[in-house]
Amino acid sequence: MARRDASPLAVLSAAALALPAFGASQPTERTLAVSTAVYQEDDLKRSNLVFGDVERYKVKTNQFYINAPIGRNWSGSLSYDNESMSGASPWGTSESADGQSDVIMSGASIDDSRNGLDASMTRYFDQSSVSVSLGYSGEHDYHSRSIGLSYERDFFNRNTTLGLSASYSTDEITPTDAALFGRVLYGEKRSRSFYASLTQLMSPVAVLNVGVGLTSRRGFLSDPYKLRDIRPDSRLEKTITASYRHYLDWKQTSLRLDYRYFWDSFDVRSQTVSGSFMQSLSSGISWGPTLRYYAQSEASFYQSFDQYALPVTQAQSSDFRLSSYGAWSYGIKARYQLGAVELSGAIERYESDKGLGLNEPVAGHPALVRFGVVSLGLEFKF
Amino acid sequence: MGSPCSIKIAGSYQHAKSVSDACISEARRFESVYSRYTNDSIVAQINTAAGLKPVRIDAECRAILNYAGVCFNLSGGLFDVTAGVLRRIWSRARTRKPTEEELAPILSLIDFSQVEITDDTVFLPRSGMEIDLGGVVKEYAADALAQLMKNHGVDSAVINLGGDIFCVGARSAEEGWQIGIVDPKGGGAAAAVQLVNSGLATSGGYERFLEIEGQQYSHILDPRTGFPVNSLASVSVIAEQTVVAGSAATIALLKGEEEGLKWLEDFGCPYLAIDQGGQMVSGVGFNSGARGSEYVGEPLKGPLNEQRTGFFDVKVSQ
Repeated sequence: MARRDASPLAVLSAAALALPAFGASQPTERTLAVSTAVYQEDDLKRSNLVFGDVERYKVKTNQFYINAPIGRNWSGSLSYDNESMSGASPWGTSESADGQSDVIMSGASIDDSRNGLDASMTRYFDQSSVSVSLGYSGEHDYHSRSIGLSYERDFFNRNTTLGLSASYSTDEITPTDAALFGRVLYGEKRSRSFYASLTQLMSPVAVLNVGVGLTSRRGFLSDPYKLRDIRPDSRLEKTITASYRHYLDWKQTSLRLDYRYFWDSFDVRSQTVSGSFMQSLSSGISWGPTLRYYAQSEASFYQSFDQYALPVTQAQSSDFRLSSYGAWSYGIKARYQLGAVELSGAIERYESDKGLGLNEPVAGHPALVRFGVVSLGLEFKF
Repeated sequence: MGSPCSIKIAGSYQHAKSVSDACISEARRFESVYSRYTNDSIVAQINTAAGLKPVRIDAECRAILNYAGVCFNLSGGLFDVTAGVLRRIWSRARTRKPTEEELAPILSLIDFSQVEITDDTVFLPRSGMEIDLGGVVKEYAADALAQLMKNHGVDSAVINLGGDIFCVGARSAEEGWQIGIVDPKGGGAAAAVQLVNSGLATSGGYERFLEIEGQQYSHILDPRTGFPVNSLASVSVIAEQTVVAGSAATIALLKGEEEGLKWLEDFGCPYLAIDQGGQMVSGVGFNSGARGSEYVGEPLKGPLNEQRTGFFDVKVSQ
């Protein structure tokens, strides 16, 4: 039987499909975006309070971002954000009459603000790009400076992308009322991070990304505002991430699934699973829900209440962020595209609890946070 | 791109302006990277290094060369991007027909199968060899700009790069984009078609021809003999991608009239061929919209005048 050759049309069409969709990955338009968000933690239960204020943190954030191509092969971006924080924060814990832990909150409401500025420049080559970024974040008692370098390279007709990045930051803290409360006068922390990722186009509608990260922090890692918080002066954090995106053409919907595994030298291990989808409606509106689950084990030196009998050379912390717990967050986001302008909004609720974790907690924490976030954004391309 | 180019985008002025700016810069990139007229293009670098050394190329350039290789194989060597050296013989200054002795050294420089292509290099093994990717890149650029527009949310637009056309979406809910096909004898359009999400490319020997000893020669040259092909005057093909339409039309011209018409019929995309006498032959649903849901055919309504074809708004590049 004679072999039947593929038709010239099929052969040419297949060869044409192997041509890259288009060459320039460099942004070809300027983007200007502003956004605002309000983050509000639920009040602490009065029954869990030793003293202080039950009203917890509220943070208002305003962000400004601009990104523009510069010449043929460069782009630059600049972002500025301002946060104003108010409310009380946990100072420490003590043992209650029934052997559980109660929370000591800061007294008067704290009012503070933070300003952050990030700038980056990217150079695009035929199949790769290199970015340099500089960042600064400052509060009246905290200053952080960072520098980052990242590299991306495409392989196999842009079906595969390798990403490598490294960053270095120094943080300085000069706690307020240090002399009055016997806090440390000055602390410094240096962090180095490395991250490598591989993105693979699985099919025209599916993308898989896997990454590994390593962060080393050295220096003053304790919380100076807590009454008894002594942490090791180095922390090595490792992460493995995987992300999958799938576009369902028939529903005009994109689906996203993410997983992250984290472990560190404090003996904290955590897992995060999140999923979201975004559906485009014909009217220029897209919307979709988000769902995330997080669970972590407690740090090796975590104490459910502050142990004043232990020597100050021994690590201990009753920070709820180092306890064993789990958390759910769920929300909904929506976007509306009108020509060059895009309006977006999102609302999210986060609830953490010792009972939600994967491990039976050795000790829970009554200050485990619950919060809501509402955000609004406006993006303009020109 | 060596010929007038234009785009038309439906939508708000501001959005259309930002998308057209992006398209202009992408079209200029194609021109600067693949033009054989500028000294610093990748094509100029490859040609300068012929017989000397391989030249590094990116994934896009390699994909274009691979595509050219597919066309070479499909056409039995007729579609050959190394055939441009024949211009040295068939120049406007020529006053008499070239002899076979004159052609022989030039013909020895033509053979795409000799071009050495690796993942990131290309090497023309003989000094004097040249490639000209113009016959692929202009059509490919139309497809690439269409993709760029779709990525920017444009759902109705026409891209015309010197006669290689891609229509994004339709003109309105009721009608496709009306495109005129130029009459090779001059005097406006020979036919009109309506396109929806389709590419249209036209190849013809009528635009540029040489007159030697009182005889007109088309610029369609057979790379195997070095002589002009006695071919159709013009071939237009409609396909899902402009680059596919363009290659099919060019191969049809190179095959000569009889073989060309057979190729077009077998190829299976709507086509309109016009022979040297001005006789029109169309097939595979041309003007009746038989193939694919995206091509809306329409019976001929007589010649289309220049005004009706001149609807393109934004000049991209000259």
